[in-house]
This record gives sequence, C-alpha cells and structure tokens, in this order.
Amino acid sequence: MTTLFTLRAGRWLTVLLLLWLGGPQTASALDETLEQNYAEKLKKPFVSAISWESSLEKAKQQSAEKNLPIIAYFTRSYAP
Amino acid sequence: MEGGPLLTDWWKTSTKRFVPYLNISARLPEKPDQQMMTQYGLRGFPTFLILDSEGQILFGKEPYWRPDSPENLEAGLAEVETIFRLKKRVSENPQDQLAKAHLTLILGLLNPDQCSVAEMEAACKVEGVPAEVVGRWLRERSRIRFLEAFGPYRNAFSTGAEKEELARLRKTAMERAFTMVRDGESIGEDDADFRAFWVLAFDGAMEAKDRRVATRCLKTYTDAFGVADRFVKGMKERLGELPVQVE
Repeated sequence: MTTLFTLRAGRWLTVLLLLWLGGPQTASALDETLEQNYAEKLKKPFVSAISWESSLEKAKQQSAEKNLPIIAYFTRSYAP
Repeated sequence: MEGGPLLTDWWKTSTKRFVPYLNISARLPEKPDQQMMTQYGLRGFPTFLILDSEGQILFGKEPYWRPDSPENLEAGLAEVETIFRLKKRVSENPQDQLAKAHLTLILGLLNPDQCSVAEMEAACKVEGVPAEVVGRWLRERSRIRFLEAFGPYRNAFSTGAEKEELARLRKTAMERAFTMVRDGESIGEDDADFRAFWVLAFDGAMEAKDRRVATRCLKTYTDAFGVADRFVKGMKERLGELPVQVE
C-alpha cells in the first residue's frame, strides 16, 4: 500500500517538475510556431499575386492620393 | 478564397480600381496592425471590408460581403465608387451643389443613426438628386422616427421595467406608429421591427378611434403575415367593435 502511494506521489511530482521546467520553453516554442505560421502565410501565392499594403496607414495614404477605395482583407496565420 | 478567387486574373486586374490591404492576425503583437480586427469590431475570418481614405467602413460589414466572383466584387465596388466620384467632383468644384447633396445623402445613409437629419432633408430638396437615393433616405427617416418612440419601450420591456412605465412608453410608441401611418409613412417590410410597427399602429388607431387607419393597419398586417397569424383574430374582433365613422 505504502509502495503504491509512493509510486503515485512520485509520478505526480515528476509531472509537476516537467510542467515547471517545460513552461517557459513551451511559451517560447509557441511563439516560434506562430512566427513560422506567419512566415508560411506570407509565402502563399495569393500574397505575391498582387501588391498588398500591410499597413492601414499606408493604404489610407494611397487611397487619398489615387482617390480609390481600400479593399481590406482580414485573415489569420495562427490557425488554418 | 486564398487558393481560388484571390489568384484569378479578374482579381489581379481589378486591383487598379482599389488599394488592396492585407491584415494577418498572427497573435504576435509586433506584426503589423494586430489591433485592427478589434478596432473594426470584426469577429470572423475571412472578412473583407471596403474602406475610404480615412479608414471608415463603406461596405462589407453588414451585410457580410465576399468578393469571390467578378459579380460580387463588382457589386461591392459599385456601392462605393459613386462616393469617390462625387468626392472628386466636390473637391474640384466646391460650388457643385448637386454633387454635394448626393454625397451628403450617400454618406448619411451609411450611418443613418449618426447623420444630421436637417442636412439630409436639405440635400433631398436639391434638384437632380437621384430619386432612388431620396427614397432610401425617406425609408430610413421613417425607421429612425419610429425607433425614437419604439426603442425606449423595447428597452424597458427587455429590462423588466415597472408596469406603469411600460404602459406609458407603449402608448408613446403606439401614438407615433399611428401618426406615421395616418401621415402616409411606414417602415420597410424587410425591417426587423415591421411587425411591431403595424401592431402598435393598429393599437394607436384603435385608441384614437380612427377606423380608416385601423383598417389599413389590419390589411397591411394580414397581407404580410397571413390570416392565421396569432394577432389577426383579436385585431379583427376589436376592429369590428369600433363604431363606423361617418365621413
């Protein structure tokens, strides 16, 4: 009985230790994944098909100069 | 969209008619314009909006718009290109009263709840303003007029206000709807408050003992919702009890 309890407690301690050690690394790994996703999104053919503005301020300037409307496309890279 | 319409020739060639702006939500704060979705009150992906040079939404939020075919793209651009043409005309000739009035009406109709009613009314009187735009404003004006009276009643109802307060607000809404029908005004059939408008107008007409208006309300209501509607029977009975007016 005591052995079983010790085994269970030891398992939980290991899990907690791994979580504690792995926490900061996981956040950093997540950022890295988000960066990769973003870079992959930018490589998609629809991005290079036309000349998109990536800053709304610049798009507004162009719109005023050319007297043209802005078509804004909102998409995401963090999920498919 | 990204693997289809946004790669087509019609999309690529159409970019001379607008400035394309790409906003990618990345959950990385240092990437460009990450706050824009929130700023524009957007919740879903993908979303397309047509904006003016101040970044104001001209089209695309409600109703939801997607330029996934040449026809849909054209429909969106057609909604806003008049604004840009008129703005150019006004900037080139500030004395162009027709262009100014037309522009006032179109921009006012984009935000009818915030526009100046006096300016819209003045713009309607300028000769040559398209009748279709004036018609749209007149319908919008009626909606605003009804909501002025109906909005407080609806809010009081949904927040569970006191019975007396509810009755007072309902009476105001009834009187407003009745007056509008009597004066030849009504709200559009596609309006979410269409049913409430005619029920209240009918009640207002009954209160005022105006059989002519009550009959008109009942007819419009029955035409729209059918004889089997839950209110129709009661309305008919009440109208039957109203004394016939001698003209």
